[in-house]
Amino acid sequence: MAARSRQSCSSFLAWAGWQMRAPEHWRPLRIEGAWEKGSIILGDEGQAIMQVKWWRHGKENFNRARWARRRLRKAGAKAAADGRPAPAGFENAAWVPGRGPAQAALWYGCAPAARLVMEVVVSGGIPKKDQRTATSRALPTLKVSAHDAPTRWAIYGASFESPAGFVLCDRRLKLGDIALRLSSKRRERLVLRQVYPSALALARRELAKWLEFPVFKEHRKYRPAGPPQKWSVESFGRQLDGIRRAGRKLFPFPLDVLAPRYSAAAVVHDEELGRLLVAEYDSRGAPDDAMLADALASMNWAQLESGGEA
Amino acid sequence: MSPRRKLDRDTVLSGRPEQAPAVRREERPNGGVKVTFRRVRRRWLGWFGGEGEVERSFGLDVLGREVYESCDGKSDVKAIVRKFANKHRVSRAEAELAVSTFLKTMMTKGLIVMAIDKDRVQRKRN
Repeated sequence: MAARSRQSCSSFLAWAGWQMRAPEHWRPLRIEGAWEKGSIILGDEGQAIMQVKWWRHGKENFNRARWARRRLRKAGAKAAADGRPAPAGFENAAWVPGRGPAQAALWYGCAPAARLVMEVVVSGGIPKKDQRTATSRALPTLKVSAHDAPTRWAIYGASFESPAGFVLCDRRLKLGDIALRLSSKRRERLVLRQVYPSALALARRELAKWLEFPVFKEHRKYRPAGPPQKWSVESFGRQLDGIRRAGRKLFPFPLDVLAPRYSAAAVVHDEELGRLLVAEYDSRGAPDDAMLADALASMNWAQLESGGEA
Repeated sequence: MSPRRKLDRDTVLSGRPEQAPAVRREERPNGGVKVTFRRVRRRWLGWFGGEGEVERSFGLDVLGREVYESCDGKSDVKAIVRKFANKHRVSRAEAELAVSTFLKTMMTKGLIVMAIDKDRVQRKRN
């Protein structure tokens, strides 16, 4: 069994191919964009502390040095030579400290492994304690997943891992019900979801029913290929029991013969963490149980893996 | 009249919520509770013959009941958040958001009152 991480002052935030550690009471205040480009504002109950922006250039011959020069010119500032945060895996990084107490500090960097360009803005006008935490504790832990490697996601208390090649299409982030919808170039779709506390979720709806209501709106209707079956998955040395179902997703009659999709979905109950873990995979070919099992097994890596490190 | 100022996070977390006196409490089959208490009506409603005081009931589910019962006037918001996060194994940020939003709703409805340290607020403003 993997060693459990102790309650620490830091929690994980992982999104769209990058991850960092942040104090426990910080949370995303606003999330914009999707996979290619977007931003997250992080803060606590009273204030925004930092903004993380990302952008995927997608080119192998991207001129990082030119980009960094242009970015600095646009900001109208000079990069500081020393005292800058140095997250691993970034090149052409620049650090522009705030010129006054109310001036925001900026950090830029390119991550060639992920083909990602990132910009972090640390708010000015916030308590120095929070500024220090952002620049010397949170920012240096920033790292990325390679573009051809599985992507990790951690938001609020839920964490997921998606296979390589899957990008974020949609999300639903509600307290106690976090869901991500991902898709690949091969037109595969994967929905990852966690519902908690499980005691409350199961009091409202039995386990099998959690598979019946789709989180994201779909034009196709589900047609089961048989009754749901008992299923279990191995996750961090524990066996999680649940239910699996398979079937097809079809357009309504008379278009039901067009482009059917094969779907497999499973829900398991993680009693130790008090969560329902749901995964649904659909594609044009036969359903892939291994994909489902991997998606469910890697959920909650941030809590269960030793230190949560990739 | 002095302008309303927003309280900072630390001040709010140090506040001690306390239940308003209830007329009666009824257990609900889902483990929740129905709380009834008297509330003073707005004065202008009296002009139309309304009673000065009315009874209002609010139904709370299991989680709502848990937070409501934690409002004992001794525990501060921070302690309630910590207790909620540990019991339900959720992140502190999530628990803080859920509990503070729920406390705000209960304050608006008049189910609880919040005691804030006046000196602390003054110190922060100075």
